[in-house]
Amino acid sequence: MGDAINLIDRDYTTVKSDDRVSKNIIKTRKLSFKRIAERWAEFRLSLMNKELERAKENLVKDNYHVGTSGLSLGSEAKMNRRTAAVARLEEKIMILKREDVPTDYRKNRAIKLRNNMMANLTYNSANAYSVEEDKIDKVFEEEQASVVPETNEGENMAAVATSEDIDVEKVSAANEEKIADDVEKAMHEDVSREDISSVIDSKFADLEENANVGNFVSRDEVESAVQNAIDAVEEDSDTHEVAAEEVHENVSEQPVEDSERVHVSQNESTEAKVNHFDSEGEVKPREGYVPMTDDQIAEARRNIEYEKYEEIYKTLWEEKKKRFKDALQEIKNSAKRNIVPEVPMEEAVRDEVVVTPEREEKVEEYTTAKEEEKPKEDLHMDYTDATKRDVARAIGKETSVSGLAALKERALKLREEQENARKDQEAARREQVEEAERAMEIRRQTEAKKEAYAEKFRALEEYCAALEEDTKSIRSSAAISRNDTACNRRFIESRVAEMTDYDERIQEIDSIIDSPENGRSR
Amino acid sequence: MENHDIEKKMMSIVAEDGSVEEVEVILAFEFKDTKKEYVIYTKNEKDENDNITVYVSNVDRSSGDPKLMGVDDEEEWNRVKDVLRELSKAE
Repeated sequence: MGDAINLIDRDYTTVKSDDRVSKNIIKTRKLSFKRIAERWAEFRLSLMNKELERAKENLVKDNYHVGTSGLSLGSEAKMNRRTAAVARLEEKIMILKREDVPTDYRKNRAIKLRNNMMANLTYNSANAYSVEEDKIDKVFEEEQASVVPETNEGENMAAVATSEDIDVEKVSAANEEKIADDVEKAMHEDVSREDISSVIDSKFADLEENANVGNFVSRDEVESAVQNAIDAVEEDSDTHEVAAEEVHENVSEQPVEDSERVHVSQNESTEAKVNHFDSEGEVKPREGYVPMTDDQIAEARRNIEYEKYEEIYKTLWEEKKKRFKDALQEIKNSAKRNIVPEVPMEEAVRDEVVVTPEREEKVEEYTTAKEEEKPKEDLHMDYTDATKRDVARAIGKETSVSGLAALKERALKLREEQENARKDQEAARREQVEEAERAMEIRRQTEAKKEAYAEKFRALEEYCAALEEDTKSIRSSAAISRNDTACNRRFIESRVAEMTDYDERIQEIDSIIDSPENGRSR
Repeated sequence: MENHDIEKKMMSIVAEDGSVEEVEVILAFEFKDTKKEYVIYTKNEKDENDNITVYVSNVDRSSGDPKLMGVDDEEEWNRVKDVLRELSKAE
């Protein structure tokens, strides 16, 4: 039979049902029912696990930049968003597997992940911080790490990675609350339908402006398709593919039987879309719609997954193409013409211009030389600036299927160019932000170095001054000592002279006393 | 893996008169060539032979909100049944 299917898991929370919908009923044996349900349940779980792995990889495999105090704004928002995504998916898997989920699991887990990330960031060769391979497991541990991040010693970046710059220790209670608020905001931003709606508004406005394909794609269709794509979570790569060879007519042990079917018409009318625009032609805001801030819009734009959009547009285009073709066929085959003949048809000659006296004059106007010089009308119409109405009008005249093909080709090409241009723009913006962050970082480092140098210089100056002072003091002390020495020498000399004088006088006196003339007998 | 270990996926079907019916989704898939989406759900109804009744609907999302539609085309219906037969086989 050659059928191949994709198992999918989309949003079925609330669906409408037409009362006339046919009741396609099948009665299944218990075992068959169980096998079918199990296959799908396994698929859902594997889908969720794959999404979780991707979210974890996104978290730990990216670069984070440091600003003047902690992470840069962009890196902080990125980390909050990604930790929130991991926590959300882990909780969903736990719910899916019917495990007990602790209270506030998402919030607390996101905070833990963030702390673990901060504790395991290492400076890398790209002038940013990231988690090394051997530390990835630590990030997802339940235990909260408290290690100060290593710095690259060779790069002499000690001034950057000090605890003053990065709060790598356990987050204080006050900061934890702030982080929790940021994480909660990121969690809501992740899945808010209003955010999706707002982003699509802006994107769709750009598309309408630039694509020049008229109103072939409605805003609601794009929104619905994007929401489905987000819910399906990359269904193309993750859905379970049942190969063509697997599905074939077979008599199983537990045959699946159908009992009753009620046939109803398939021509249900689609819901009319009214009241989407106000009197000025502006799109009316939805009820409860809260406009996004510039930061939120920028963040949402960065998160747009262009590959999904591309797939969605292609799918919608195919759908529209079918309808357009049907309309084309219908008009071609329709016998209805909204033309009121000026004369009763029985009097008109087929394929000839019906001329009235007034019209005859007008006919002459159309037969001037100028008109005759006019080049033959090209049946291929130019839809470059055509709106849907223009095309519809054109269909009423002469039409060409090749014109549609050319228009479609042009639309696809324009769309592709637009998407490429957008990707370039986003890449340029990202690069600009990163370079700006880097410039700020370099400036900060330079300032720090300059300050350190100035401090050292001052210290050296003071040292010199102290040396000089000390030297002076020593010299002064030496001078004093020398002076004292000189004084003592002079004193000694004078005393020695005095002693010598006294000695002489003593000798003189002794010579007088001891003289024989004095007759003393000794 | 037992089915009861996995959280059930419930779906609320809103009829035209506004009444709401809760059902359990047991399978969802799309054909790769037509991209048509189908949902198989049950109201846990059993007959005297313990056979379980399941309902098959095409899901139309073209108007924005998902809407359940019937499968009227004979060939399409046969394809859906083939899928269910194949999935009900032991692995």
